[in-house]
Order: sequence, then structure tokens, then C-alpha cells
Amino acid sequence: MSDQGPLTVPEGPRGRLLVVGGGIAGLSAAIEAAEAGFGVALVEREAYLGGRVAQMHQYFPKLCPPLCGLEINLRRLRSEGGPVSRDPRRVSAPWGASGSLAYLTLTEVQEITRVSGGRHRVRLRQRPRFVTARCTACGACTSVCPVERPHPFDLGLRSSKAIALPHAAAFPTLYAIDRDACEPSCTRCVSACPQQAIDLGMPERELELEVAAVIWATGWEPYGAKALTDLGFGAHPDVITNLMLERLAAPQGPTGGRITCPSDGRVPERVAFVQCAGSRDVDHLEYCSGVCCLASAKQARYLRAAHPGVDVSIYYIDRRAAGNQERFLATTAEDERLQFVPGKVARVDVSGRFPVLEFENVATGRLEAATADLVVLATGMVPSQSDTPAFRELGRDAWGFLTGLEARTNEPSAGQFVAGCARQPMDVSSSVRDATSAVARALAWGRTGRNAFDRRGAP
Amino acid sequence: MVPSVGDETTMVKRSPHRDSAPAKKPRPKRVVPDREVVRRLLGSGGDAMGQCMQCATCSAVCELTPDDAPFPRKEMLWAQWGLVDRLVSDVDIWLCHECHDCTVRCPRGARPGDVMAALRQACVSHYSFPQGLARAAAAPAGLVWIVLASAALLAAASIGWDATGVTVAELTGGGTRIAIPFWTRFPHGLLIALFLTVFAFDVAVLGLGMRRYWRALSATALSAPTRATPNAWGQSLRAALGRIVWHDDFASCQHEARRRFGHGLVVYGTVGLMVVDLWVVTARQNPLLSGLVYPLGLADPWKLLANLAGVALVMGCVMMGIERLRRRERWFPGGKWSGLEGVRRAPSGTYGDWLLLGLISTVVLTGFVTEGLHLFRVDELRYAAYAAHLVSVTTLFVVLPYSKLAHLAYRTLAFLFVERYGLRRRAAVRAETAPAASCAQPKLSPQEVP
Repeated sequence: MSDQGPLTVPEGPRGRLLVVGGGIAGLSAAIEAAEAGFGVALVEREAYLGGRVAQMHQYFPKLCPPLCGLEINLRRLRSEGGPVSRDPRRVSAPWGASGSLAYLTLTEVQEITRVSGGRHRVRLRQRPRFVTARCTACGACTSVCPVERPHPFDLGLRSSKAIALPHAAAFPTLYAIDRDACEPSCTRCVSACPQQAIDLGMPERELELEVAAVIWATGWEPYGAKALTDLGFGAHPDVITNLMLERLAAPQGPTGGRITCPSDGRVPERVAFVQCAGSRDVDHLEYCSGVCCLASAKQARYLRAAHPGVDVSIYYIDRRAAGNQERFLATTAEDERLQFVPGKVARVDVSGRFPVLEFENVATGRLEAATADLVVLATGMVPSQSDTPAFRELGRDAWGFLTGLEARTNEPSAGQFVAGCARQPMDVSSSVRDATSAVARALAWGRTGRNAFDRRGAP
Repeated sequence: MVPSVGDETTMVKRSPHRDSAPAKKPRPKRVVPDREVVRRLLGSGGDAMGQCMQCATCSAVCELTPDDAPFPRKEMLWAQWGLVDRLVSDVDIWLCHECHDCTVRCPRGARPGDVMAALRQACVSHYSFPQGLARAAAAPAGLVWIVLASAALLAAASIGWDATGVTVAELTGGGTRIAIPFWTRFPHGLLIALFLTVFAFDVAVLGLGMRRYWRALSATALSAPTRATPNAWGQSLRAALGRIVWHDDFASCQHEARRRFGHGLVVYGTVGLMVVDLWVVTARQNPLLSGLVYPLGLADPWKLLANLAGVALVMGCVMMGIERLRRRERWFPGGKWSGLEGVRRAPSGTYGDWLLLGLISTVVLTGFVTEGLHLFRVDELRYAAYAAHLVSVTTLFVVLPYSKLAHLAYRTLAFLFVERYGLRRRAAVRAETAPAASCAQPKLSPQEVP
């Protein structure tokens, strides 16, 4: 019954843990916690696990596909048992020896109340998928569905039917229906499904759970490029964001991995990356997301590899590479047809056929205007938000990132930890490490009932 | 002119465009930051300049900057570092018209527009003589002394003039019909003599400063090979004056477009009053005047011109004052009028800004009060008002070469310089190159279009 069955998360040797967010940080935390002896409930707001990482084409610095790393995690997740098997006979299979893990998609945490002994009572709400675990992803429904809508996973770069697999490599491999897009009283998919897997009357359901600790790994969203009016996003189809480029480059993406201009599908000859698009800017994001420089360098490299004739310019204020990533930037700059140009792009003129970037080249001290076929806005990361009471009550910093460690033992949010980009912008490997450290803190909390960082609290 | 600081200092070269040939390594030049200048800039409107991260958005959005060595990005760096030599030989600070297009767009709220204004004030102070008077003009305490000195000067001159008995002679002298009691306290001849002296002082101080500034500019311009052949003087002067007459530069500003009108009113009001003043000064020698009674009636065209000019001046001052006050949060919460909210909200104008607006307004308003009191023959008060008017005029003239008002000399000089050496506004350059840029079409091969 996949993640639609009853939520039975047994008490592990270390107690029970709730992980909020099924992205790379949440997945890592959930799996490691299960391996360490927690019974884990992993909840995800979207219809699939994997989060932002599933949208990426390649990681830096290794330039390898993230689906590979994701696949390893999903295998670990399966080996932890739980109601993940598509085989109905395995639903009641024993939990893994080291712990157990159950996941729920389309689920949000509504409310968390502190109960005695430092434990938390959690109320979850799961939105209906309208497709049951009987779905074999055969696609018969999609061929009869009359509604086309912009595909959210591909950021609107292609359209998909109202009933669709969330993305090509989605886990769980179940279709989902976007009921807001559906035509009223249309039931074509129901009759087309050979497995009778579609249930348009599926209700929303609420679940309750008592856990020792909570790890928030709610992740990030790309900064809304529509706000960058000076940079022409939305006014010219060939001005895209860095995440859109990931989709354009991905083999399962809207163009089958062929990076082309969205306006007319031609192969770009001049690609411009606009760094700090809305970052380090008092009007947009005042902070530096810390990964966009490396992400653009990575994208520039796979672009150059895919189209040997393309010229790439990266317009930046400062080239920022944290820690040992400096080398990656240096290697990137060795490419003769890839240039780093100091100077923030102040405006992208989209009045003509091709976008024109206006900037001061700080190296030469000249105002320049550069025409590009494709403009990539390197937008930053903003923390994902939710309007549930449980989320609203969490401590956060000035930019909305969650602060988990500061809570004193006697505060309501004590015993709730934060991992990954929900805490601050970071790259994938840092997120994974951050998840591990959050699990370690949760373990300490489960054992002592105190926040490890609260030196004042009584034992 | 001076490309970027990176070229001559020990900063790391970041240019990807330099040829890779192992050129002779330029000897690193020692840069001596002037912390005193930095401190002064921070205190005169540049308080946020430390926020600047050299992203160059300001240069890229400025409509007045030349394409080559644009401003104000480089000035922001020089200001942060206190590189006085560069700052005082930089023509660009005077090309800026303080429209705040850069301030609005600065992603850090560093307010480059205000920094440029602070730099202009620093430039005026740097070139003015004597420095003691310049310092006095830069602070409220100094202003008190200047006002007192002006009053004392006027009183002394008036008493001295009385003692010579010239007043009586003037009043009874035959030929002219200038015989009005109004003038007995401040005789015409005295005022002409006094103001000619003060005016000569202004010309001398500004002239000296301009001469030094021009030399500094030439030293930088002549070292740049691209501008080896300057334009003719006459042509340059015509072009420079044209820019002033039409207020073209103000017109390219986006954010504070209203400044063109406000500043125009002040300029043309001043010009109108100057014309009337010249007429008054030459009245006795003026053949057109015979048969006229002086002072003039309200319907007299000269009087009309003077009053109109005065009204224009006051209106212009009020408009420009409102522009500044709009940045004040208490009166215009949320920056709803200025578009400069949050970190960009500045202390609404510096002392120098208000000194100028205040002095001009005081001169014109006391003038109008005097005129009114005179019309209604309010005898005791009108002399007092006239005295106040004359003191404010004297103060204005004394302060002029050290205050923001000195821009009438320095900016004109800067215009002349850029016209002579062919530095052009970006808007003009862009208008010429725009059609060429749009012709650039990428090669499209049919097989590449799916």
C-alpha cells in the first residue's frame, strides 16, 4: 500500500523520530537515524522523495548525476523496511534490524505539542494523491487525460497532463493527479486505468504520532526571479534561472538533455551567467547563498562539454568558492572560451530579439553591452516556508532560515533540530553532513532529554 | 582617464582580457590612504560608503557616465580608501547631477549619489583658499562668524561712508534724480563698492581653485593617449554652455527627473536677478534711465523681471528642498514619495545642501520683505529688513566659493574639460551605437533548430 497505509512506526531502541522533508538532507537524516536505532517517520510535502536534488543534472565538483546518489539513498531506505515496498505482502514485513523507517508523501506537519519526558505529539495531514499503490506507471491514464498544464518539476519548461508521474525517476513510482488542473467531472483516467488504481474520492487524512525528537529538513526554494524585473526574467523566454538550466540539461528533462534556447529551440552560441541575481541585494536577498558561483561554474562546464562551439561568460561581483572548492573554479577558468567577467549585470535589455546585458567590466573599467543567446540568472536559495502552526512556531533568523540549536531545554521547540538548507544555504554534500549531525543531536536528546547545546539546563 | 585602482596598485589583476604575453611587470605604486578625508566623507553624506562591494551596478545604471572609466564605482573605491590624489583630479564627480539613479539601484544601500555629493564638497574644500575660511564655511559655527563678520563689514562701511559725507553729496548731486530716503542708510555707491569687492574676492578664490583643478585634470587627461587631440576652445565652450542652458544632463536622470525643473528655476531666477543687478549697478551711466524715477514702480518691466526671478528662485529652492525632505522617514514614512526607502533613506541632505538652499531662500525672502515694507512705507522695519537682506547677500557671496554653490564654477569647468577632451555622456554614445548593436544576428543553422 506504499505510503498510503496506516502509519505504524514502532519505537526503535532509541525511540521514535520525525523527519520533515524528503530532500537529500531529510532522506539522509531519516536513513541514518533508522540505522542508528530510531523508528523514523519521514514526511514529504511533494508527491515524490528526493527534493531539489532530483531536479539537478549534475553535482559539482565531480560532475556526476545526482540521481545516482539519490538511488543509493533510496536503496538504503528500502533496506530499512517499512511500508515502502510495492509488494502488498511485504507491508507487514519486519522492520530492519537497526530500526525502521516509514515515509509519507504529500504530507505536512500540522502541529507539534510537547508532552511529558521531552517527547512531542505530532499531527500530520496527508493530501490525497488520488492514485493508489496499485499504479504500475503504465501511462494509460496520461494518454486519455485532456488537460495540459505547465509541468512544475520542469519549472514550466514543458507541459504535462493533469495526471502524470511527478518526474521520470520519481520515487515512489506512482502517478499523481493535480486536481486543481482537472476538468470538472472528468473521469476518463479512472476508466482508462487497467489496474483500477485511480480513486478520485480519496480523502485527505490526518495522522497522529508521538516522537522523541523532530528534524526539520524543509530545504529551499529558488528565489523568485520574477522579482528581478531589471534582469528581464519573464519578459524574454531566453532569460532563464540556473535551476531551469539544470532541467534543460537533464536527460529526463523537457529537451531530453539538449540545452537549447527556450524561445526557438536553437543551440545557443553565447551564454551569459548573471551571478548574484537578487543575492547580496537589500531589495532581494541580503545574503550570499554560497553555492551559485560553483553551480554556475559547473553549468558552464557541462554547457561547454555539450556544445563545443558555445562561448560562456560569467558576470560576477566576487567569485566565491568555499573551502576546497576553490580549485574547481580555477580549473573552470582554464577553458579559453569561458570567461569570468568582474561586474554585476545591472540590466538585461530584452526589447530586442536577443537579450543584451549591461554592465561595467571592472577589469577594464569600461561600460559594456553584451548580446547573449541564453541568459542564466544565478538566483539564490530561500528557505522553504509553510503556514502550518508547527512551522510558524519555529525559531528563525532574519531571512527565514530555521534556527534549531539555540532552543533551551525548557522551550517548546527544544528537541526539534534543523538540517540542510532549512538552516542556511549549502551544497549537497554539506547538507548530507548536516543531516548526520542533526541525527547525532537527536540521539543525544533522546537519551538525555536535553538540548546538547544547553549547558544551563538541569539533567 | 584612470582605469581602475587595480592597475597601479598591488591589487591582484583580475582581467581576463589582458594579453598573455609576459609584459614588463609594472612597478607597484605605493598608495597612501588619507584617513582624515575618509572621516570627513563619512560625516558629509558618505556614511554608508563602507557598504560598497564594488559590484558596479551604479556605473552601469548611470545615464550620465561616459562608457570609458565610468563613475561612480571607481569613486566609491577611492573614497573608501581615501585616495585624495585620484579624487581631486577626477572630472567625473562634477558630471554627476545627484539624481540618485545609482542610489536607488545600489544593492547594498551604499548611496553612491550621496558619496558623490560629499566628494564634490571635498573637491571644493581641497582647492579653495584660504583653507581657514573654507573650514568655517563647512560648519554651522563658522556660519555664525561669517554672518557676524558680514554685518560688521556692512556697518563699518556704512559708518565710514557717512563720515566721508559722500552720501550727502550723492543725494544732492545734480543730474540724476536718484534721491530717495531709502538709500540714506545704505548708500548706493557704498553697496556697489562693497559688492564689487566681495565679487572680486569670489572670482579670485574660484579662479585660483579652477586653475589648480584644471591643471590636475589636464595632468590625468593628457596622460591618456586616446584624447591626444582636444577640441577647439570655442567649440568646447559652446557645447559646455549649451549643456548648462538646456539642463540636458538633468534630463537623462531617471529617478529625480523633477530636479531639472527645480534647478532650472533657481538658475534662471539667479540669472534674472543678476541682470537686474547689473542694470542697477550701471544705472547712473545708463542713458535709458534718464527720466525714470528710481526705485521703480511695480509695473516697470525691470521690477517685473526682478520679482519674477525672485519668485522663480523661491519656487526652485522649495522644490529642491522638498526633494530632500522626501527622504526623511518621519514626514514621508516608507519612502513613499522618494522611492528611497529602507537603507537608502538618508539623512535628508547634508549641512552643505541646506546651507545653500537656506542662504538663497533667505536672500530672496528678505528681499521680498524689504520690498513689501518699502511699498507700505513701514519706515523702521524696512531698514532692518534691508539690513538683513544685505547681510544675507554678503554672507552668500563670502560663502559662495567654499560652499556647494561653487559648483557653478567647478561643474562648468568640468563640462568645458570633457567637451574639450571629447568625453561624452553615455546616453549620447548609446543613441549612436544602438542601431549597430541590434544588427548583430547570431548564425542560425537550420539543422540546429529542432
